[in-house]
Amino acid sequence: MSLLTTHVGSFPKPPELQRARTKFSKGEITAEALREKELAATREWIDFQEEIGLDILVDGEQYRGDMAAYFAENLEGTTTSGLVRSYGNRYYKKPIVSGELRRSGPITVEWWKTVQEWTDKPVKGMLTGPYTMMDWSFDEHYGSRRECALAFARILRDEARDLAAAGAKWIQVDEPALSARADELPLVIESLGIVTRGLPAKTITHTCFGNYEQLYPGMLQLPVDQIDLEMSNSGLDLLELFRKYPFTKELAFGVVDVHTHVIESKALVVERIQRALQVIPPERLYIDPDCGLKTRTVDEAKAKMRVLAEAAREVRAGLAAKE
Amino acid sequence: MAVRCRAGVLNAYPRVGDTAEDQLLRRTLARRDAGEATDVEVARAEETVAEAAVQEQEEAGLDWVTDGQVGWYDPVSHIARGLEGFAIGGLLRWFDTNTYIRQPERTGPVRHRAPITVAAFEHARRVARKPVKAVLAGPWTLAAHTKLDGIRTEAFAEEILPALVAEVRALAAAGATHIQIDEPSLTLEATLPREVRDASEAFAAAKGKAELGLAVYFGGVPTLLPALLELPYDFLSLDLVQGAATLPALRRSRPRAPLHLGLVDARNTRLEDPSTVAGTLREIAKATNSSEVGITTSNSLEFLPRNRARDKLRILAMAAASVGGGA
Repeated sequence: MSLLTTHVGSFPKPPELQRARTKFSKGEITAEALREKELAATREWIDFQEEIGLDILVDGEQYRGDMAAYFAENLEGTTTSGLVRSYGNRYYKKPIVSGELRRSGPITVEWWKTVQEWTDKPVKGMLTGPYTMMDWSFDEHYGSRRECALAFARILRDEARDLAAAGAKWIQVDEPALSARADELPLVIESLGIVTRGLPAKTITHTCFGNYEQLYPGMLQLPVDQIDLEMSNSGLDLLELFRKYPFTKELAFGVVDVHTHVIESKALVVERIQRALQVIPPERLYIDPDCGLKTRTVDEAKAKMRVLAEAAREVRAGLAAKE
Repeated sequence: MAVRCRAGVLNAYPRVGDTAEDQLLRRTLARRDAGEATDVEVARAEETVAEAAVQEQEEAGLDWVTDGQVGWYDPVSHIARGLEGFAIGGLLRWFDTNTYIRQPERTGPVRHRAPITVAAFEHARRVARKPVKAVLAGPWTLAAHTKLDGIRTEAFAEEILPALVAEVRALAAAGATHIQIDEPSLTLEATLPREVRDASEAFAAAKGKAELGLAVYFGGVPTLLPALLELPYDFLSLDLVQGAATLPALRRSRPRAPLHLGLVDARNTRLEDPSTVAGTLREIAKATNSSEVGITTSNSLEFLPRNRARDKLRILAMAAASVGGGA
């Protein structure tokens, strides 16, 4: 089967869950009560993904706050900072590495197992990559970007192995920070390789919103089977680069912009997929949004995913008709 | 040799903190997005938050303050939005950070319609007891981050210069005593672009009585430094944390105007020892034969949570006082 559809990671939290998280932070509800809401919201997103016919599912990260802080909160040797601005009116809490990093046990495995039991479709195991964990943390302990990244890598390697042992066939290790410093691509490759080497699963890395002209084609050395890229926000301009230097891995291709309220038309998404097909064969092309959708409303996220799924179906039907 | 040392922040200051009170602007913007608050309410919230930013800088004992740039969407598009000839596009990573700017796109000839930064400057000055430093994105950085349809960065930096000079003139007319031009993109250049030299002269001619400064950050400028020191600025602000590579060249230099030394790390929560910072300040002042230096943060304090930003303000003030602080 070709032109599979998937999602990058997060879905927005419904208002009821947002309220529950606020109450939990104030000590007004228990962790069990919050988990109930997280499970309910997760179940809704799994049902939604099945309803629209997505091929490879995600759990939607309803139980995570920030993608880096979530892992840091579950490790020894870290604390969490106050709010720091990302862009516009978006803020997040950053990990502070204050001591030797240690993992006392699996972090994401129970969630993955719970969700995978709900569906026959594969659910991706989702990790934040070691380079990104390092780059998005305040390091008060290691004093060396490499040492800090490698410490995170050893922990995430154990987490990825635990996911694979639990049965995860698709494991995504997000590295959105990889474009931050082009000169550190070797460190991204080294640390990501520690996580993915020998893993009995399809390995993916997602990255977004960077100047990939500086990193391409070097980024094809990333030790993963599939690279998931934001394409629509940047006007699909990377396609020209891919014509020049062929994209040799699987490509998950972002066809909807996650940073606009505007819902793309099906015709526009079909056109984007067709443009991608001019440079990547369908068996190596996956269709998904530019990035996680947690910054959109539930309605916007659903509308964007529906358009994505319908457009992919239409293109897939066209390809089948030609065979 | 006695060294006079003044302290202040480089440019922006965190606009939110962790208390409900510190969330005013964030919540007002969210309410506006939901159609529940007006632009006027957002403007009022920005003024309140700017007042708090000024107050925190003054309470820490700094010698100059900024308005915290609390009304700026980001360091680049805020200026582009105020000029004619730009549209505002998608997200673009801001240097090597996990923050993003909206990328300006050139849509036509660039013109200065009306002052962009003056109202916020005037408000800060009304509430401040210390001098307020006004900050403006420089033409090189603005051009380097704009989507240009076939136009060269150099040509666009020249095109937008008159509009930015008009903004400097407007700030000077409003009584700004300190105006800083931010050119972080210069850290990516091996030699000083002619357009930056030309822009510096044009700004100097428009600054009136204000002290005019240039700030470069997000890296070192060891090869650029001699040329930067020749530019007609009244102070030069350098990032000496991420840009520590500048230090050997800096120690060999004889600056004509005061240096503002970015020795306090604005990108890491780790707190510096003020006496160690003061020691470095003294050592650089001695090496450069400087009787007057400034100490500042290496970069924008928006990269830190508010509580640590406050700590960094205190480190600046303590280090300056230890060297020879006060106006």
